[in-house]
Amino acid sequence: MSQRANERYHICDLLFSQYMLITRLLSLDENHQSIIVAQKRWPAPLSDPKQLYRNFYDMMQKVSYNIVCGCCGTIGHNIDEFTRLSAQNELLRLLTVNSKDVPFSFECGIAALDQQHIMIDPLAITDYSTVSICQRCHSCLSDSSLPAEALANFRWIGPMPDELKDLTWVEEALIARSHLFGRIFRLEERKNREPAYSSLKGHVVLVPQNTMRLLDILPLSPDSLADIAHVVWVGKSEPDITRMAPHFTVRKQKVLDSLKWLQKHHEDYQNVRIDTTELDKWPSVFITEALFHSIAHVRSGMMEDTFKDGFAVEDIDIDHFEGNIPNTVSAILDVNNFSQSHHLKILQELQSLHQDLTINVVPGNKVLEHYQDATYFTSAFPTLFPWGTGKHKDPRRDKSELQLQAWMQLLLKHSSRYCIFILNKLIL
Amino acid sequence: MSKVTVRTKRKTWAKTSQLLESLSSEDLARAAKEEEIHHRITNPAVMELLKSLSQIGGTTSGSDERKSHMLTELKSSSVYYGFPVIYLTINPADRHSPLALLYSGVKIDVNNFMPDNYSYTERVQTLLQNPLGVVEYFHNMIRAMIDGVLKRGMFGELMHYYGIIEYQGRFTPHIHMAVSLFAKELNANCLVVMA
Repeated sequence: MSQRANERYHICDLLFSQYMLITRLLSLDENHQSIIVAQKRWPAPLSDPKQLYRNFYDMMQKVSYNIVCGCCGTIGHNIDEFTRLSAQNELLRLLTVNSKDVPFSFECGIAALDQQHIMIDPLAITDYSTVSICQRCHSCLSDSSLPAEALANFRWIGPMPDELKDLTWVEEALIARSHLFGRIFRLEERKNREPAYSSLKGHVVLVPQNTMRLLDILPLSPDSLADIAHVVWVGKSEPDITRMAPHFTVRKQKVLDSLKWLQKHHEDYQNVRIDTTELDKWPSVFITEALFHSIAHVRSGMMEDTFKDGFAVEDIDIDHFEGNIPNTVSAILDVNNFSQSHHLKILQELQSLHQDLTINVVPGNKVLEHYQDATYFTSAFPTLFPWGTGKHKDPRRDKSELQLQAWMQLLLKHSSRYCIFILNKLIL
Repeated sequence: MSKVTVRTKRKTWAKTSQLLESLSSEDLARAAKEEEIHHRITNPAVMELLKSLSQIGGTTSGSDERKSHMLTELKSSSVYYGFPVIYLTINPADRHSPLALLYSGVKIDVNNFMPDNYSYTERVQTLLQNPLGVVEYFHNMIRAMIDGVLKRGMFGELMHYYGIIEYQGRFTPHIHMAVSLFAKELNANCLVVMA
């Protein structure tokens, strides 16, 4: 019985393989034929270059605009993505806000909108009566719901007052309530005066700083700046204090004025006390010496791929140390090297770490986290959020929550980008 | 920051930590030597260390792990679509483009742009203040090139392209692309033959 089954199996197998062979041969033949056809056709005739250029030209024409969406206040470039609404349009009524919630005036100049407290971005107004709205916001408004991205969804940021304008970065660091990340400041000596984008090559590892709570007494002592910022000087010569002074200058009156303004108007600065004894110690204009002396020096910009001067290690690696190790370390690791096997490179890197460098990351459990604290960003960047409004988290946004990533993208595209540009231009 | 994973909470950590603790810098040096002459690394602890490091690096864009991942992608795409025939580098000149200037907030007429009215230094300074404008310009430019020119048959029928954005010394972006072109029939058959 089993023998018969075996035979039958063999016959089936044979038939099947024969069948496969035939079909396979057929398909290979077919393939061969079509390859020959394709080969004969090759090279295929090219498209008309004029038409190609027209395509390209049309596409570029479409994106050669700067359009601000009145609803979410972001800049777009593609004209197809925007629609124009008349100021009388019913849809805009959804953007009405309670004017008591907004600490600043948000009038846009169109009486019909201002009377109803409708919040739009004034830059979106074209022809004094129409407002451009991006497609996303428009479709959301058409469903008669407030878009999560809308400025009226507790995302208003407000104009920057004169007191906070043209603060240097050092001054800003002194009045911020928290310092979320270590800052790396790179100054470079350039021979051919070829301007370059300010940048650092390689990867920057951001180690959370030990901001366990927000500062209530401001300004910060200039000596503590060295903990939150690292300055790297790239160039063959020694850094010249007179040329670099503008980057490190602190004007006492300016700091005091901005703090006073913030105390009065910024949501998160209500309970801040101005430390007059600290301020009395300051001369009216001075250069932050502590920071200046901590400058790391890189001889050659060409070697920047391998520099590790950004490593800063607190000399606290001792056995008897008790409690949390204060963590104020920022580090740069380079990963841009192709010529070697990357395993080899990692191994070598690890060895060099093993010998004399240790990075302690012991943040404890009280580090500020963005998901716990609504004031996380607004209190750290007072010049970006002068009124403390437009936080990434807001309980009043109950209906349409904004994700952190979306919130950040909206900020990057925010129409105020150009205002900052104008400001910078004035300084230059 | 959102990609932080706690490796010490894994189940296998107890075993891994023992391995890692046994490592000395001599072990690393030996492994580095083995790697240098392209031999297999014999020490299991070193392998474990490299493995966990590469798992972390795999999600970070620009890291070596990410690059080797992209290389594999490129290789498999050339298996699937056939070898690329054109190596294309597009490097839009941000400094000479009215569009980049417009995106940086200067109010100009793009169609009747008078370059002489804006000095070179002024233009470059404007662009430096607005890196995002330059990135948007680059993005729109490359999109228009791919959608309006490459896909419409600039070199013939486009099968596949694979591009990587790089940043040069001045930190402006440019893109390298490997473009595969094949007549459809030919390509479909290549697949069958390879399978």
